[in-house]
Amino acid sequence: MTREPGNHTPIPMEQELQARLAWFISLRWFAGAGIIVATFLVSLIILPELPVKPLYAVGLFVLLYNLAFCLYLSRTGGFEFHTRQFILTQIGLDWASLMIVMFFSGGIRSPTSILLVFHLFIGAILLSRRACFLLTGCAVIILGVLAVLEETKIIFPPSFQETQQLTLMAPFTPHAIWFGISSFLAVTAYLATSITVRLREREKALFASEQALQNVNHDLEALYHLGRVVNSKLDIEQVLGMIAENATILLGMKACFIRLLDKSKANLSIAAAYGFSEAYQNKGPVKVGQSEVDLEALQGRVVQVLEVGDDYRFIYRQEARKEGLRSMLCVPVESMSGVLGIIRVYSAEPHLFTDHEQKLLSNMANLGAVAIENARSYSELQNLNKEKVWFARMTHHQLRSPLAAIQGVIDALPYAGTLNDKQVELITRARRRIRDVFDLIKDFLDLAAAQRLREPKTEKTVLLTTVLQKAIETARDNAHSKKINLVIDIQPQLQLTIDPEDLERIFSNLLGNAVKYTPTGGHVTFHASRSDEGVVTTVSDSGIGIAPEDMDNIFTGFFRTKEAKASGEIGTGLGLSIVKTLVDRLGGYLSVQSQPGHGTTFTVIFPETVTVRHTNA
Amino acid sequence: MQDGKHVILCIDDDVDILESLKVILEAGDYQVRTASSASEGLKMVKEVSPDLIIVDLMMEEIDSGTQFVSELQASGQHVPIYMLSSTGDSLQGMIDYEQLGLAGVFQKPLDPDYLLKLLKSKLK
Repeated sequence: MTREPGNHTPIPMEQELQARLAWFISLRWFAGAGIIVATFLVSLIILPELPVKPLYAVGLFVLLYNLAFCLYLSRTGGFEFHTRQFILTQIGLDWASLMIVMFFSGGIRSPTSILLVFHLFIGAILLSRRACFLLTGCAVIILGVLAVLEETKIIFPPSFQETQQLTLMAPFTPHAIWFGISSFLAVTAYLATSITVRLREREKALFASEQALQNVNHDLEALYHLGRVVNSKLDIEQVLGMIAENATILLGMKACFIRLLDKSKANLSIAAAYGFSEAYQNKGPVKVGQSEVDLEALQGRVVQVLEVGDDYRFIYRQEARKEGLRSMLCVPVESMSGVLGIIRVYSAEPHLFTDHEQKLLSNMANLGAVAIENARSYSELQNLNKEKVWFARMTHHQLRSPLAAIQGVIDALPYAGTLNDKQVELITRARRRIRDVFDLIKDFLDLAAAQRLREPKTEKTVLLTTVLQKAIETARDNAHSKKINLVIDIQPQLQLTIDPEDLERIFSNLLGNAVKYTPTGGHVTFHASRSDEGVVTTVSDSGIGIAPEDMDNIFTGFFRTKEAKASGEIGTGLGLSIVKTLVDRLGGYLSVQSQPGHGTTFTVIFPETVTVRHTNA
Repeated sequence: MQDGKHVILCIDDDVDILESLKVILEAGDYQVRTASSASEGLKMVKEVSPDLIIVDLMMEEIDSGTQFVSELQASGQHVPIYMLSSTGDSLQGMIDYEQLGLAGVFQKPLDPDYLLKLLKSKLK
C-alpha cells in the first residue's frame, strides 16, 4: 500500500451519503403513497371540497419519478449515487411536488407547509450550507408568491376559503403567516446546517486520524518485519538492500541509497541502492568532505533539500535532474560505536518531509546500524575463533615434536647401558610427567575445538555404535586390564545428527574417566536410548565418586578432586570441562549424581530439536 | 649386511629421535645408518643397501614419508619399510599402507621392546 500524495474525498463519507440517499429514496415511496392516502382521507372525512384530482396526480407523479430514480440507479450500478446533479434533481422534484401540494391544499395556509421543514433537513444533510440556505431562500420566495396569490385573491380554487377555518393560522393575514413560516424555516435551516457542518467536520477529523493511525500501523508493521529480517539474516548486503527498498516504498519515494564510511572514515561508498538507474548508481565512493549534506548528516543531523537540481550543496545537480530526483531527505546511520554512514531518500516530486517521515527514516537507519554492527561483530567473532583454533593447533603441533624427542631419548636410556635402580626410578618419573604433558596438550586442543563456533556443515546423521566404536574399544581394553566389568547397552540403530568428533570426544572422556576412577573389580555401564526428550545417555560407575562440595567445580578447567588425585591415576583436569563445553554448545543437558566411595553417574541428553547457536543464517 | 650384522636405515628429521633409535637398535645388535631427509635417505639407500628401513611419516613436508616410499618402490628397491607415525596424525585413515607396500607402522611413542622383538622376527 502506498501513500497517495494529496487527498481524495474521504471514502467513508461517500458511503454514508450513498446510504442516506438510498434511505431517502425508500422514504419517498411513503411520501408519494402518503399524499394519495392523505388526500383520500381528508376529502372523505374532513374536506369534501378538496381538489383531489390534482393531488392524486402529484402523488402519482412522486411515485413515478421515484421509480425513475430506482431504474436509473439499477442501470448505472449505483455509481452515480452521489453526483451533484442527481441530488439536485431529487431535491428539485421534491420541492416542486411539495409546492404543488401546498398550492392545492390551501396555499399559504396549507398545513403541508410543515413538510418544508422536513425537506430543509434533507437539504442540510445532503447539501452544503450555502446550498441549503439557497434552498431556504427559494422556499421563502415561493411561499411569498403563495401569500401574494391569496392576498390578491388570484388563488384558486376559491372553495378553499373553508380551509381557513380549519387551520390554526385562520386569524392571521397571509403576510403574517408568510413571515412566521419564513422565519421558522430560516432558523431551522441555520440550526440544521450548523449541526451537520459540525458533524461533517468531526467525521473528517475522525477519518483523518483513522487514516493516520492506519499509516502509522502500517509503518510499524513494516519496521517490525524489517526488524525480524535484520535479526535473522547476517548477509549485510541483503539486509541493507531490503532497508533501502522498504524505505523507498514506505515513504512513497522514488529512490534511496545507503552509503557507509570506509575504514579510513574519509570516503562514503554505496552499500545499498534502490530505484536508481544503472548509470546514476555507478558513481563510486564519495569523499566525505565533498558533500556538505553528507557532512551535516555525519554530524548526526537530519538534512532535507527541496530541489536537488538547484541546491548548491549538491555536486551532481545535472545528473540528479536527469534522473528525475527532486527533494531529498538524509539521515545518519548511527550505532553505539558512532556514525557509520548515511541514508538518503529522493522524491519524484518536490516534497516537504514531515516530522513523521523523518522519524520513520531514522528508525530504518537504526535498523540498518544494528544489522551492520551485528554483521561486524559476528565476523570479528569468527576471526577471533579461527585465530584461537589455529593457535591451539599450532601449540599442539609445535609442542609435540620436542616432547616426542624427549620421550624417545628417555626411552632409549636403558638401552645405552645398564641402569641402577635409582636411575630406573628417575626415568620412570620422567616418563610419567612426559605422558602428562602429552595428555595435557591433547586436551588443550580438544578444549579449543570444543569452544569453536558451531559449524552445521560438520554435522551428519550417524549411528552411535559406529562413531563410538574406538572409544568403547579403548575403554574395554583398559577395563579388561583392571578387571572391571564394562557393560555397553546402546539401543540398536540409535542415531544422532551431530559432529562425529564432538560425540567421540564426549564419550571417550566420560568412559575414560569411568574406567579410570573405578578400582579393580568394579563395573561401568554405558547406556543410550531414545526418549521423548531426545537421546538419553548415561555413564555410571562404581568408582571413587565425587564429594558434594566438589560438584560445582568438577566442570572447571584443571580441577581434580582429592579422590581423583589420591587414586594415583593421571589426569589433566580438563576432561569434564571439555565435555561440558561440548554439551552446552550442542544445546544438550548434562548432569551428574554421585556418592563418594560408591560411584558416579553422568547423564547427557541430546535434544531432539537441536538448538541453534552461533550459526550463519 | 655388514660385518655380520643387519643394516637398518633410519630416516627422520628430528636428530634426537634418530639418536634414540640408534641407541636402541645398536643395543639390539644392528648396524644403524641415519638420514635426516627423504632425499638424503634415497641417496643412502643406494650407498649402504640396508636390510630394513624405518622412516618418519612427517618430515619437513607433509607426506614426505609416503613420498619417499613410493619413490623407492619406483626405483625398484625391495627393502622392508616401516613407517613412524604420531597418534593423531589424521593421515592414518587416509593411507592404504598395504597398497603403499609398507611392511608396517609404528606408533610414536615407540615401545623399544616391541620394536626389537618385531625386528628380530623380521630379520632372521
